[in-house]
Amino acid sequence: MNIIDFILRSSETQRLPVAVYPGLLLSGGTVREITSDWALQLKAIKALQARYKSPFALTAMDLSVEAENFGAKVLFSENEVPTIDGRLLTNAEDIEKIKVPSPDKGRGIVQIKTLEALAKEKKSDEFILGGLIGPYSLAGRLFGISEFMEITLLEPEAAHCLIKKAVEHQIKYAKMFKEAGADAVFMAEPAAGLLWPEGLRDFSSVYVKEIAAELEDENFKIILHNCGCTIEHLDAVLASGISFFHFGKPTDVVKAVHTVPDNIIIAGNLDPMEMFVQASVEEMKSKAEELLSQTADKRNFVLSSGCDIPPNAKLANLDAFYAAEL
Amino acid sequence: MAELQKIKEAIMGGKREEVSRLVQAALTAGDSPVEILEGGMIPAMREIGDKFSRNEVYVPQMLIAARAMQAGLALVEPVLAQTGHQPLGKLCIGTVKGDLHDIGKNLVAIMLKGAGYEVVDLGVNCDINKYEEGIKQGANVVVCSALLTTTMPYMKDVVEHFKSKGVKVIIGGAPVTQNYADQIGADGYSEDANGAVKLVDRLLGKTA
Ligand code: B1M
Repeated sequence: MNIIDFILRSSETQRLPVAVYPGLLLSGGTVREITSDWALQLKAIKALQARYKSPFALTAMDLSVEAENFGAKVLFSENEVPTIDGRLLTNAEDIEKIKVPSPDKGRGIVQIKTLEALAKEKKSDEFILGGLIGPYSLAGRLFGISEFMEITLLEPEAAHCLIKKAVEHQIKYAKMFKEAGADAVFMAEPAAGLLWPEGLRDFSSVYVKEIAAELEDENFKIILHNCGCTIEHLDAVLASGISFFHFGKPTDVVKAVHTVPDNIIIAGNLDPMEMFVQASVEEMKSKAEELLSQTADKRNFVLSSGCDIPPNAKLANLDAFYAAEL
Repeated sequence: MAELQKIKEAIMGGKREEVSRLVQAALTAGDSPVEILEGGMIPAMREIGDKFSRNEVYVPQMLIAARAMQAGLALVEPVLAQTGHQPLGKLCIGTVKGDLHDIGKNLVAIMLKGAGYEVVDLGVNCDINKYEEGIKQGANVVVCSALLTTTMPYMKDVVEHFKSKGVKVIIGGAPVTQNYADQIGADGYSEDANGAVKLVDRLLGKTA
């Protein structure tokens, strides 16, 4: 059974928090270690699996991997997720010139190896997900997020050219996840949420569709994460043609799940900071239960965080997330 | 004046080169820089800011309008200075320590400039010393932006530091609320860039 059918046929609402870094609270180690050493990342993920018995396991959301592979400079610190420093590309000529690297170099391998190890041990009705960045956001990380939004409007051809290069890289990278045994990839496209709806459709969804056409089959699916968009972007996001969407705080997920057809999955959207880091256990439980009750009539809803949960989250809140009930 | 309408439209459309050309032509023709600013450029930023508040335009459209505005300001400002025209006030703006998000801060800065204020942009990752630099350059209001819940608490340190010095501190950014501003004793809060202009107008008793 694929991940979508599994969710749609489940009698209870499934839970899929975007959580790997909080695994460090159980396994020990630092963010820096698990984003550069697959065995340590595996240990953190397995510690979460052992505690929560979730049918889903996801590799770390490290959205600097692909840009680094293109040549961008990355800033590392012990307990913060790596981030890109400065701009690798500054004009249309740079875009034209840059070559698409092979994704089998660099820290992408850390993610692939982690996933491979998880897939080897997976049981039936367990699903292994690889984390990667979406095409618009990758282009933004190479060109500078702000500057890339500007050329999206002013030099759309150059913008498309860079996004196409990002697509080429991400198709190859996602194939590596697929070959390593992934059931799905979780593709994070946060920067596209800042675009106007038609812009999101033309500069992101069209390309997600292209990636999906190359990769999706009966047993391999794409989950599209967009933590920046609002309900006004829903049609534009759906234009990607895939069946599994993951939204953040700005999206009214209750409305979204009541708007889309029943075979389209909507996941979200408990805020990582507010709910997993700052809230009390009671607040977390009550917010999760509110969301469960507002979507109780829908089988196509998955309870999740609205974005990646940071390493300083509270395990008690993650416990409450899993313990929340209707 | 038709040219002012064209300048306004060019700014709202983010047409940087056209703005430069039109503003230069107007200045060469002897039009008053105050009139260009107040009749074309400022209304452009106000109108696009309103549209942004109503979700009729999005961040990219705001960013290109801001760039076009900058291009116009670069030509108008030196002429204004020569004529002895005084800005409405001088402010400094920066994203707080530990925080590298600058898109919102840049929009707030340009809206304030567009409204007639002189703005010292201190960039991102600003500690108290950095804000002090802004004050040394003549600013009497500190504008703080924060996008991370983890960096927001630093605003309290900034507010406390400047409280005794008679410098006003106003704050904003996605996780910040009016409640939080009240709690830390900030001199003001606004939800968006347009609101920031209205806030500063109120604070300094100006109507731009
Ligand atoms: C009076 O004074 C005032 C008044 C009004 C003021 C004001 C001051 N300042 C702002 N305003 C107001 O006016 C503006 C215009 O109306 C508004 O400004 P805003 O800045 O709110 O709005 C902008 C116009 C548009 N919004 C933005 O520019 C932010 C967009 C999102 C997608 C975002 C972006 C783009 C980025 N990010 Co980051 N990022 C996210 C954002 C998610 C989202 N969709 O919101 C957010 C903010 N990021 C987050 C995180 C966690 C991070 N980010 C990080 C990095 C980045 C990028 C570099 C990739 C990029 C920044 C690029 C740049 N040059 O700024 C990291 C931190 C780096 C650092 N130390 O700062 C990192 C830690 C990610 C990581 N794991 O590495 C989250 C913060 C969670 C939290 N509440 O703490 C986040 C909400 C995403 C999420 N869903 O989790 C108002 O707030």
